[in-house]
Amino acid sequence: MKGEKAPVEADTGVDPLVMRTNVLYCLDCGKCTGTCPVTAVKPGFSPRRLVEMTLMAKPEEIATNNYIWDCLTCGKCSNYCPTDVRFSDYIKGLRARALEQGGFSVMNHGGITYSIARAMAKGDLKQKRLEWVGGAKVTVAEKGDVLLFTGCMVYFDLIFEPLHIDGAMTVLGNAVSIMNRAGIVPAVMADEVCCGHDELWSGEEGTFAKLMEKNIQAIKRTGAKKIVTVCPECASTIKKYYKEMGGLEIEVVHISQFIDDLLKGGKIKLRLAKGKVTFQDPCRLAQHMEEVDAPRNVIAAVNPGGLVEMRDSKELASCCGTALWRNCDSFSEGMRGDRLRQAKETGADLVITACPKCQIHFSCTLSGKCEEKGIDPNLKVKDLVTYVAENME
Amino acid sequence: MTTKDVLVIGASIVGIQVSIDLANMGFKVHLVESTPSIGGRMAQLDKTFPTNDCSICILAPKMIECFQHPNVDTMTYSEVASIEGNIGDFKVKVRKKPRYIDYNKCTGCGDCTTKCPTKVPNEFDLDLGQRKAIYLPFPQAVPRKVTIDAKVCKYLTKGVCRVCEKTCQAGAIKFDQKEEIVDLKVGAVVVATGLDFYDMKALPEYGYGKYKNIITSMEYERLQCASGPTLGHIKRPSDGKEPLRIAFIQCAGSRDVRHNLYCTGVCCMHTIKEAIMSNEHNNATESFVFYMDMRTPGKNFQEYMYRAEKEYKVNFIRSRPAKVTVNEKGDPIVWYEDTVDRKLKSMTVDLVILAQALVPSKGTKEMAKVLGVKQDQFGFLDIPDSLLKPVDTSVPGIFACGFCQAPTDIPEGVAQASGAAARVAEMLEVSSR
Repeated sequence: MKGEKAPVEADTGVDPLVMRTNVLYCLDCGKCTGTCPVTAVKPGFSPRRLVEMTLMAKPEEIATNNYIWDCLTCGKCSNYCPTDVRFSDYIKGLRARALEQGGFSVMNHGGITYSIARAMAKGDLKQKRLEWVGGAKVTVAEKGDVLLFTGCMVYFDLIFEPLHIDGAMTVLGNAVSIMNRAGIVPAVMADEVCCGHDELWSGEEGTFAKLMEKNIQAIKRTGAKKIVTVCPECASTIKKYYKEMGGLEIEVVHISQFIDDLLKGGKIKLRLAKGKVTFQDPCRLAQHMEEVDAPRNVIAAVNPGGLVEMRDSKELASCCGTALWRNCDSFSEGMRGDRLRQAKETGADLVITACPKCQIHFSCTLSGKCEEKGIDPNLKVKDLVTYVAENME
Repeated sequence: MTTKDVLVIGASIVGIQVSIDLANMGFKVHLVESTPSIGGRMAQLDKTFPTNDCSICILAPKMIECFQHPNVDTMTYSEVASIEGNIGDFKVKVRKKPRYIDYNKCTGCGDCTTKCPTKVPNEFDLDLGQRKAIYLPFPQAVPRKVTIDAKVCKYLTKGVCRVCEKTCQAGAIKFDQKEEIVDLKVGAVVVATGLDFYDMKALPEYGYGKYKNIITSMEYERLQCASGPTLGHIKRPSDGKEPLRIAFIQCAGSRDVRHNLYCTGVCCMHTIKEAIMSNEHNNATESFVFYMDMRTPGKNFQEYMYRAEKEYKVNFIRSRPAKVTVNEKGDPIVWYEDTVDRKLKSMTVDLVILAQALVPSKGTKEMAKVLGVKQDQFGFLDIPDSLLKPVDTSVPGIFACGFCQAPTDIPEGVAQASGAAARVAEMLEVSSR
């Protein structure tokens, strides 16, 4: 997904946010609305109409417009827009303005993820971030060419303990053991902080800037030439926004891309897995980073011919239904239900994801009442990294 | 010394018009066409807008007039290999590809085609039907001489068969035919290399290639045409059922920064035509045209649209659909926001037709390189002064008309053709005085 354009030098008198996001080029064709996973479950919402509503709105009207918080910023509309309106980035800008005006939206899980991120941004929080290393029996270092950016998974393990997710202990450990097997000892950072993705897309620009600054300093101390993340949100944020807003010039890849390269280079040997599996494209990977092939290559290497695609897959795939730990409601459940029903239709018994949040959200829905929604409660959800690690020789 | 011969590249209706005009003025024309027959895209059309005239009925007499004209030397199955020199004095090499047929002996009787055992998809029908390895591209082809497709012929690829040779009573099969290079000296060049189709697989949201009942306008044109693969009976690809509810999706790959920024210019009109003709085939047929803006600038074009709406059950829905899926019966479902009542809707139809974007042909891009003519950002031949010299390319003495320089419909292409012929005549006459 393309982001905002560079700010226009000349003062045209037009709102810079509108200029940067091409909003005035809207042809009113409705393709965004037709593509939007939110509109599909919540008929009042429409990217096109939101543009109409907000273009001429007064600041206080933006603060009270609840629709601007319904958007998942998944970027599907931007990727299908025939005139390149960067709607997700427009929403990002609007949210910052709404917050300035005292706007408010519901945060899930008591807002704990935001509290943690703000605490990280503010003071010198002492974290026990690397506890998983000992349990996983893997080799890591403080410095190195390859940096594994671990993200918020260690916190998710605690918050979502009842869901028994494939969490930090397994995914991070598995990621490093894959790297170790390929002869790579990744650097990990004890002083890493949240990448700031949720703050950035929620309009909390100040918090994001502080988090980014801390991370950039820490990343530079490791001497890394390449950053690998297990979460597509971290990857897209560091790759695009740390570069544009913080001047960080280091190659950033998602773990699926990294493993794909290792496999292509013959660096890891696999035992072949059997059974039908399907893949949920994370929005930050498929839409923001436009990467749909790497995870599929990896699955094909582990389980040749075993991947069965959902009806909407790759570029057409929809988000898991909740972004930024905000606004999780019956509509989000509707989106998840649709994805899980599509997964069931494929005949697969395992849904592989490449994003901790997709995994948590699906696990949550599967732990609830499934039959009445036509969802198969026996579906299993697993992270791509674990799927590979389990099938390593 | 100025040569009064003219080279015309591409024998579509546009190239044919240039050739006839110049030939009638007394110039010697060398018309080079890469396929086995002259006629171009217009030969593939069933009808023309806005009069619903039979396309080939208008074109065929022109093809024959051109081919039989004493001043026109038509070279089919040939390509321009190189060109040197300047305005008034170009040296051209034309590569005549081997047809493996004695041109003078072949009577076009078709016995060889009947007996040939090799069937391949027919590109003239957009691969919907089949043809043989030795073939006449379409029934009205000019010249009426068969061609052997060396890529698929059993004898030429595997060394066995020769059934056509045994069948041909005229003894016209010549398997040892070689490529020939013809040298020409010409004073001016007119390029009319036309269009190709934008690959609809680049728009995964519309499911072309994945679902059988999602086809393109040109494919539908062949399904409507009496000489097409279904002999003019409209049958949808999945099960041969006659489609009675048809959705047309406009701007498929055009007016879109992700694909082709420009408006292809003819799709609104050919969609209206195909929708009207669907209803003419069966008056129970209803059409739904999904559009952003209907662009109908031309004589009787807007009236044509009104007529479609009033008399032919053509419904216009203002929306650019987001995606197309299919149900278990293979019926396509179009998902869209109706931008008038602002509701998200879906519509189940029997057949979806994508008004595919048209792009400068592969031949146009090749010729631009051979001739050293500039192209614009989309690959069209660049016209530096499009206001006052609308057919002059960046190279003096080389002219371009039709779709190779910009989206044009048939009348506009023909007008440009006559314009180019006039420019050539003026130039060659004035410089020879």
